[in-house]
Amino acid sequence: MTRDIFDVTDNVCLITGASSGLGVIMAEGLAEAGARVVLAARRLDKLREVSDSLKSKGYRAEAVKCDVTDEMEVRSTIESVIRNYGSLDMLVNNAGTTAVSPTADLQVNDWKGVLDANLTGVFLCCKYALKQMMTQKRGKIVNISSVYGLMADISLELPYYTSKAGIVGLTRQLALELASHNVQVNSIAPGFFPSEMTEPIIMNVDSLAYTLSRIPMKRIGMPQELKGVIRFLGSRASDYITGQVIVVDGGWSLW
Amino acid sequence: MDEAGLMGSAQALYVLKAADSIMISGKTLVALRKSEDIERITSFLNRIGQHPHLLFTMLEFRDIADDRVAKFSNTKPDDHILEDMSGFEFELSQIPYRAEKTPASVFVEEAIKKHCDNIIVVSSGSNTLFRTDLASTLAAESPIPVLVVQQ
Repeated sequence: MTRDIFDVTDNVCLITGASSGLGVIMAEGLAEAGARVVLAARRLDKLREVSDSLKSKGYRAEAVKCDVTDEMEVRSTIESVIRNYGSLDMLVNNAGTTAVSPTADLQVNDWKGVLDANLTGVFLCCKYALKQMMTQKRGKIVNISSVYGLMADISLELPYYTSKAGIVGLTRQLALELASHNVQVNSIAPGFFPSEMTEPIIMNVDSLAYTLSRIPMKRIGMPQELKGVIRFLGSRASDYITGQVIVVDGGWSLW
Repeated sequence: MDEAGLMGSAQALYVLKAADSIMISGKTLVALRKSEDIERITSFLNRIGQHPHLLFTMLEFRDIADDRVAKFSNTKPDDHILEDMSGFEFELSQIPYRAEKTPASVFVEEAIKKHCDNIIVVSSGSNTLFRTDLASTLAAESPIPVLVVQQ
C-alpha cells in the first residue's frame, strides 16, 4: 500500500516551547497524526500536564525539561531522544519569549534574554539535531518565526522583531547547508494567535481593535489552523521545499 | 463639540470633550474597554446633566483559547465601581468573545439587538501609538450614532 505523502505516523518529533501556547497545539497536531512527540520546555510541571493530556487521548507523548539557552541541556535532551527512540525525524523550534519596552529604556539583559531564547536556542537545537539528521540522511527542521520577523509594527518589542527576523535568515542559510543531506529546514511565521505572549494585546480592546484592523480576515488565528502546516512540513509532501517561510497570518503581511 | 465626517455606514460620530454639552436620549450601549470606563462615562454624563438608560457591555475573553494555550479571563467590574450610580438606570452584561470578528462589530450587533439609540465609548487618547482603537472602529462600523468621550 502506498504511504500517504502527508503521513507522519511513528515519526519522532521534538517540539521546544511545548508547555503552552502554539507549541501545545503543534505538538497535538503531530500527535493526532500518529507521530511520537517529545515535548520540551523549562516548566516541567506544565509540560507534564500537556503530555498527560495527549496520552489520555491515546497519543504518544513524553515531557522533557529543557532550557534551550543551556547548551548542555539541549545536547543531553537531543541525545536522550535519539537514545530512546533511535531517530529524530523532526525538530520544531518553537520556544520563545519577548521583552516589551521602548528601545531607549531597554536593558541589555532583556535584549540578551530574548536573543538567547529565540535565536541562540534555535541555533543550539539545530546544531545537535542536524548531526543525527545528517547521519540518517533525512530530517525536517521547522523554526517558528513570526510576521514580526518580516515586517515592522507598533509593538515595542525590538529584540523580538530582531530575533524573529534572525530566524528567517538562519532558516535560509541552514537550509542551503543541509540541502544535499536531505534535511529540509523551513520556517512558519504565524500572525496573531492566542498565546501567553499575545494575551495582554488581546485583553486590551484598543490594541485588539488596532490589530484586527490590520488583518484582512478581521479575526485572530485559531491555534488549530497551525496543525495542517506543521504536519505538511513534517511529512514527505514537503520534501522538495527548503529554506522557505510559510506565513499563516490571515493576510496581515499582504500590505 | 466636533462632528466628524462620516465614514462607512456610520450615521454620526460625536467626539465629546470636557466642556461639551449634548442631549443624549433613549437607550445607550456603553462599549467598555475596561471597568474604569464606567467612572469616566458616568462622571461625564453627570457633568453634562444627561442620564440615559445605560447598557454597560464588556467583552468576555474566556473562550478565545483553551486553557492549555493560555488562560484568558477577565472579570466583571467590581461592585464598588457600580455603587455611585445614583440617577442612572443601568444594566451590566458581558458578551462571550471568540475573536472571530472585530470587537466593534460585536458591540454594534449587541446595540442593534438591544434596540439602542446610541453607543458611547472612551477613546484611547492621542498619546498612544494606536491610531486605530475601539472608538475609531466603532465610528467606522456602526450604523448607530457613536459618542466618543475623549480621555
